[in-house]
Amino acid sequence: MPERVLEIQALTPQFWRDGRPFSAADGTETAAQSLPLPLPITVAGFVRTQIGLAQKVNWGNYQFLRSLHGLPIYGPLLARREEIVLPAPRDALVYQKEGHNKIMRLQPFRPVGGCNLPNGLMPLRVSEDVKPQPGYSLWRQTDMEQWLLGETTLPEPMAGLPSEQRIHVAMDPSKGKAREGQLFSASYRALEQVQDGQYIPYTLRARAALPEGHQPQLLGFLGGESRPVALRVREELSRYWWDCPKSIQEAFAGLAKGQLIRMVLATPALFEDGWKPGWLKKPGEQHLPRGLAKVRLRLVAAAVGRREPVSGWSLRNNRPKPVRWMVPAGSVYFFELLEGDPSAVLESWLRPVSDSEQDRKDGFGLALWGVGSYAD
Amino acid sequence: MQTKAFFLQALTPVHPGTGQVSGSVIDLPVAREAATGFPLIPASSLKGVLRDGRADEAANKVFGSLEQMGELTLTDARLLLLPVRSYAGTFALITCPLVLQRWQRDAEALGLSSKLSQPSITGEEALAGSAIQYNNQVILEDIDLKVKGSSEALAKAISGLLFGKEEPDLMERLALVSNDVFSYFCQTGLEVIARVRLESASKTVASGALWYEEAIPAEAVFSSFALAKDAAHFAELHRRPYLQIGGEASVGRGLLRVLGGV
Repeated sequence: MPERVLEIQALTPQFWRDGRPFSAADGTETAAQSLPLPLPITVAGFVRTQIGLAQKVNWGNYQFLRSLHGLPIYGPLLARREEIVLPAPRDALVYQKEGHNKIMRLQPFRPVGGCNLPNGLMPLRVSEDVKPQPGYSLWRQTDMEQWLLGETTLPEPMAGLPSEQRIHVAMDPSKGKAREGQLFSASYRALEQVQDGQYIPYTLRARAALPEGHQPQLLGFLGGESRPVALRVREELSRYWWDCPKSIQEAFAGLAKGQLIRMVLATPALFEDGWKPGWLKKPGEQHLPRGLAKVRLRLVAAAVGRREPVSGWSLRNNRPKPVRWMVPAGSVYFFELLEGDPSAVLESWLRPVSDSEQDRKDGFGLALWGVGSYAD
Repeated sequence: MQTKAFFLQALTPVHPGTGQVSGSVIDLPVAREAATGFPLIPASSLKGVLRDGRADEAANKVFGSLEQMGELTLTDARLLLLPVRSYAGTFALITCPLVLQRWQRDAEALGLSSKLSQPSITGEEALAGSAIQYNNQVILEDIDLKVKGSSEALAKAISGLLFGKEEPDLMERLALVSNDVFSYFCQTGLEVIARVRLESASKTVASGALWYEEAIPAEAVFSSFALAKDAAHFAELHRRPYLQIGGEASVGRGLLRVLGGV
């Protein structure tokens, strides 16, 4: 099955709920927030629905639903015009000093006298006590490439998608006024922006292996409130996705045992051991994320953001899904190469590294790989 | 999925409120898009008005209920043409390349065949209709724009989409201005109305009862798209000769008529 890039274009601002309770019942929240980006499973579910709709399937057919559910959809990546932009890596700290923005690289180090982190984990060195500068939540593909190669250059500032808050009321048509207790607000995300007089459209992209001849239905609804989007199939994978750059392939070819490898998450990941990948303790086993069975890695340090919840409604079982905790996008893991060809991990370049196979098929934990070094 | 482009023309000033306290001198501003700052009518307002309080089975099918998603989807009504005071010809109907480009992009994504030409204009220049030109200039409020050419071809296309024919008023008054000029008028060129509440006995203004509210002027045109499982649902758009959308209904705000049928 050839892999293709699916591009989602929003026709109105989008509403990607963060899962907090929100209803007209007393005591619940009256403000709904949108996530900065949709969860991988939201996009995967949307794409699978569009494929099912195009095939005019019977949604009550359990067998078919299972096969549709098993279709791997890797995303979402955000594209700014035609360029991929990614969540900022959490081992980068942009701060202000003497009126200028600077960047600090957080690197593992061996503290004098040791530390009490478990299993030989090392802390990351913060060379100056500074406050992070806002406005750098997304990084351009080119800035990310430099960062993964170990260069410390300040990225172009890029805040997230604009948030649009709207206040809603339910009108009582007989009185022409708002109904009592029916006032609520929702914040949406616009996939467009005007910056310095320039209009910048954004799209979401996902990579999928569509069965030959299968086309998804092109119009559909993503996220909450049935906000309409258009879906396009982009045939040229290398043009609309971000393949592993040559510079990174070369850097990995030159890596020796004992050197550091960094893994940066482009989408949130789900691991068996909470923040820690479960595949670390199963070297060489089958059914690991691509390429990772060919190497043996030791976790040295990590820059992981605060855990984020994922839940949802299971349409197949007609009940809510249990809440699980994700490692947020942008989290960085530092590994020491113990054995194997380091280039093997690049097989997982922008492919999922979550532990469970179904989570991988849903696009959780798309990984970027780069070289790393110790602070001392 | 069936799709349709339609338009709303303001017959009176429209006040789609934000529902929030404003930090500016205008107490009650109109809703604007976060991305561009252009005024808009949210799809939820439009849908609520079209539903008109109906909760029968047929309305639930089209507009949805707590159990079932509606079969008709609307997009936000975005500003297409904004009337601005003009030295010649009383007022001009302005639009800009960004507005046209966004409409065209969405129309293509929805599989509509209609095309709007995409002329470019930058800086302090304009493509203008005959009625609003003075000495090779278009003078809008306090901004003088140099006429670079005629807006006739574009006016013809927009007029065709809106009215299905050449509407003389639009043909004469259309001006294509740069994105920056359009944006400036979207921020500062809307109608601001001062209102007071009188003490009924003394006929003087009640203490603290002065407020300013903003409205998108009459003659403005908004563009929106409808998506539906069944094209018959589009009839809902034309159920009434006019709609009342937004706040201040009892003082005549927000009367709009639906135009177009691509």
